[in-house]
Amino acid sequence: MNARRIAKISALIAAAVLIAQSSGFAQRTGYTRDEFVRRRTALAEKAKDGLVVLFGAVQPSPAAHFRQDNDFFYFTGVEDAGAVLVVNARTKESSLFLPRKTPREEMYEGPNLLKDEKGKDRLGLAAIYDVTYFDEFVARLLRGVTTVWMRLMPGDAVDDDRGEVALFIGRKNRLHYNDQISLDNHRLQKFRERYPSFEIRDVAPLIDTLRYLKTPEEIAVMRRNGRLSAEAVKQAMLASHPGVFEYEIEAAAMAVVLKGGAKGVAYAPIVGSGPNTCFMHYDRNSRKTESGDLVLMDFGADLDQLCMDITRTWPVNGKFTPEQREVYQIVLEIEKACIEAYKPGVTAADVQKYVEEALKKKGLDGRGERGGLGHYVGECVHDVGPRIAALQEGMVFAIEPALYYPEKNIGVRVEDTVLITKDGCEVLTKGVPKEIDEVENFVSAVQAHKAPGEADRISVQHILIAFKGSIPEPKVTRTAAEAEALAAEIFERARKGEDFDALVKKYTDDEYPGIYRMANFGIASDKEKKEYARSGMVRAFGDVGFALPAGGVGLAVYDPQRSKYGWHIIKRLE
Amino acid sequence: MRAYRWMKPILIAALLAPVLAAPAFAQRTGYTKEEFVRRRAALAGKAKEGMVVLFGDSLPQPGAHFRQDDDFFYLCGIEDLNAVLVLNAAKGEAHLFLPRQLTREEMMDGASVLRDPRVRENLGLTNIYDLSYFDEFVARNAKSFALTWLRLGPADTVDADRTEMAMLASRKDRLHYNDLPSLGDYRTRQFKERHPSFEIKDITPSLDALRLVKSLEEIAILRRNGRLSAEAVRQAMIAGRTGDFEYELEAVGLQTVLLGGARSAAAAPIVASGPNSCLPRYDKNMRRTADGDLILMDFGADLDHLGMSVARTWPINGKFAKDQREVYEIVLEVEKACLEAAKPGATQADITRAVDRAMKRKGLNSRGLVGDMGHFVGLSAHDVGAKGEPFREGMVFAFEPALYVTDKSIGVRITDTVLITRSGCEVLTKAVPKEIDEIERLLAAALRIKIGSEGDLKKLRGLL
Repeated sequence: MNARRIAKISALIAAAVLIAQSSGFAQRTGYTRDEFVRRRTALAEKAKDGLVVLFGAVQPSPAAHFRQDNDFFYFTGVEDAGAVLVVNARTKESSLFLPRKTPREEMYEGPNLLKDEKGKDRLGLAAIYDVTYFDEFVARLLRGVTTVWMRLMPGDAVDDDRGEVALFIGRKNRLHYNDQISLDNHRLQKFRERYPSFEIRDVAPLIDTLRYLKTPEEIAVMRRNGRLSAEAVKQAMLASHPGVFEYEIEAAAMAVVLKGGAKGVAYAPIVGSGPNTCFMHYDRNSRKTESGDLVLMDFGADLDQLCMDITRTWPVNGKFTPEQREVYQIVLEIEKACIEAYKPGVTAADVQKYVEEALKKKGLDGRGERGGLGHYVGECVHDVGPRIAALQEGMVFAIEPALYYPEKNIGVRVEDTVLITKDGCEVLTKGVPKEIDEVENFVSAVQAHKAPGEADRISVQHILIAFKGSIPEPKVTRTAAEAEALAAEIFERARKGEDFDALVKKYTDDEYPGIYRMANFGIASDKEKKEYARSGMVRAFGDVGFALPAGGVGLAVYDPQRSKYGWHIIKRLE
Repeated sequence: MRAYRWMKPILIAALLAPVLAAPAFAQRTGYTKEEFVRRRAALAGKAKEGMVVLFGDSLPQPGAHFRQDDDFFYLCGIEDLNAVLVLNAAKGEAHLFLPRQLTREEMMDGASVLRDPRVRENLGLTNIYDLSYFDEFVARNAKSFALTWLRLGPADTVDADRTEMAMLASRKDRLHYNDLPSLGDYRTRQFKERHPSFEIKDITPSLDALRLVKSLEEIAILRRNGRLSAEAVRQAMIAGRTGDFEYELEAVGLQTVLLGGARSAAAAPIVASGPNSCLPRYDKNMRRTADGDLILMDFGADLDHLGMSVARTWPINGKFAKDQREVYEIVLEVEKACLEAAKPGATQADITRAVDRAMKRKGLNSRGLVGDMGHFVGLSAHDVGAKGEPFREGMVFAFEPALYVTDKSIGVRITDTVLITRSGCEVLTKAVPKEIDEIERLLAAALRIKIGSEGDLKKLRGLL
């Protein structure tokens, strides 16, 4: 067995192991009641006096599961549409207001918390009211309250922080026909008109100073999300080969995180190949990749209302060109240096100084990219938080240095999300290859491309050894273990030169003679000669077939993804 | 031994594989320029005179790939934010207005078509202008705008038709603090305020009339989407095991359609097990399935801006219980009767009668289930079009009869999307079983396979 084969097979095992692990990933957990009580108490303490009024999201976005407004979720965990929360800062009591559902709505969606007698205790609330009572509730407090805390800054979304939400509204308003105020501001305007005596203050800064330091429960979820999102990007790397569509790479990652319990993604996944690597926000993901392309993937799951952010860049054919490698190395070293530098007390300038020295040590030029402090990550992937001078324990940051050379179609970004710990930082998205060798080995080992030296077309004869259930053939009754032993035995006999045709006749669970013509990746298959495209075949079948010299015999081992019908003993005929 | 053609990955994958053979499925195609030209000409033909003004979407959807407003996409295929389309109905001209991007925006997002010199030709447009020119354009052509067609009905979305959007808006307004009018209504008001002399007419009915009957290009995509969405549900059936979370089945369905080129699902996927099967709109998908549960999965992909709708109900343990089977049989017979009756000219009343006849013939009591259930499918999974409308060739409709027996946790819904053909209908989502014995056979085969188990790995390692 040559070195290349061994590399291939070990990657195959690695892939199988990863898949097996991901089946144990289902892990949507949510939060305890005490977590929300603590958060509301902390908010009341920050407000000191008055009422905090927060409005929840009113409807799901199209074709998506309902995702609550981040601030509202942070203090309630309630996932019903059209809710309002009032926190009395003085008494520290919280009241929730929910729309009363019609019987029809209850029949369609199930009842909401208004119908749940124990709901208020389960959530640690003073009361749950019908939302139509809200104005009367406020009116009853009119004389005792002077300050009302409302959100004067925009609400953040899963993928855009308050500033970015404002920015999109600004873009929308380029045409004055679109310059309608936001729902948040509409509520504010109405509330002000109705209660002119209140002093209205902005609660957003208070919320931000809570949200940017993560609690132990949040950290547990984010660790899990880090592992999950990392696994997703790994699977995406394994799904890459020249000719794959960008969206197929996206699909490989989506499958992992959704199976792991994510409600969706933290942002529209970016899978940019070739020229698209140079557009930072490219997310159409509809291009077909070509050999020689870099693939830049920026991805993160939304798990239990917390996000993750990870980027890797890799050559779709498994091999960096010297130019790509040069750019990649700079970005990688900067990213690693940032991670080394991150610890409590460190400022952006400190990080940049550290990066500069690290580059100098390696004899590299940063070409203008200096690293620094990235963005917060939390309920929003670009999370809220005050501008800070220095890092603090409990912050979660994404570090994302990048270099773009549009004229060369080289865009490189390497990104990890880290948790600032007592004396450094913990990389939450670790385990996805990023060292050049690692990346090349990982991607090239599972390549679906015509490797140098491979034939354009081959013809093979094979013996399929299936087991009970691996093919829909009731006559196959042997177990997987028996099939494996039999395949090993036949493989040995064939290699020793026993008449292959006779072995096929005697053993195969496919049709005799089991001879197939195959055209390699990138070679048009000749339909008239009944030639099949390698890309349309079971993966391991092509991999083994094309790796063989003429007359050689190989074994494609059973693997649920790459050789799902059982074991194939394959002889290359020409 | 029966010839067993393992070389046909899709065929076999359909029965066995947890993951499809990807290369055979990737199939995002889009539309030709002529398609959009034809649509615009048809709309101009309906309006006859005056100017049609349509605004595109203004904000991205959080955590999702951008999806353009349905009507706007229908007429030009443009997927940029904040665009405006103007059609001169009499002259058959089409003018597109796009915001001028800053260099920074171009760097981040890629340049919009405003910068592309060939695009006017590529899209068959008369002109492309900077958005800031829009008001002046109206002023210069005030005579033509004297009759202006705006969309006065609500915009539909990928998963909700115009009526549903209005309904959701009214639910939002239950609390008056939330009663912000829609952006569409706001634009209309602004346009009217600015141009009090113009006569404003509603273009919505004309748009709906066009969208209701599908073009050949749309039919090709809907067929592909039907296969893809059916395959997704089938893969979920194969992958599902007692003890799985509902969302794990959703993941299998989504993976299948994303690999096939879908931008996303056409509606939040519903995977409802046990008691949840009785809640028609349940989509939290977070319950752990238990032995004896029925799984109700309602799913469809959004492929090239067209939706799909398919629902199946199956027992997670592979075997229908007696009372599950009883309910299932009724729903299935009703659904099959609907499909048989669907043909050009048929009204909902005809279909209801056909269902009654079928029930009588089979000696079944439909328990109140009649034949007027379903919705059109197109750019939205709940597409435009009134329910009372008699079927015509080229319409696409989803029949979705259901029975919910809440006290027994038996909710059964079976949905297929059909294309009305010259003499009947073509079931677009037929590639996933619905007969009881077919389902049980498939599940029995599937349950024999352990996917990625420890044991397989050990064997793998042992052999090498």
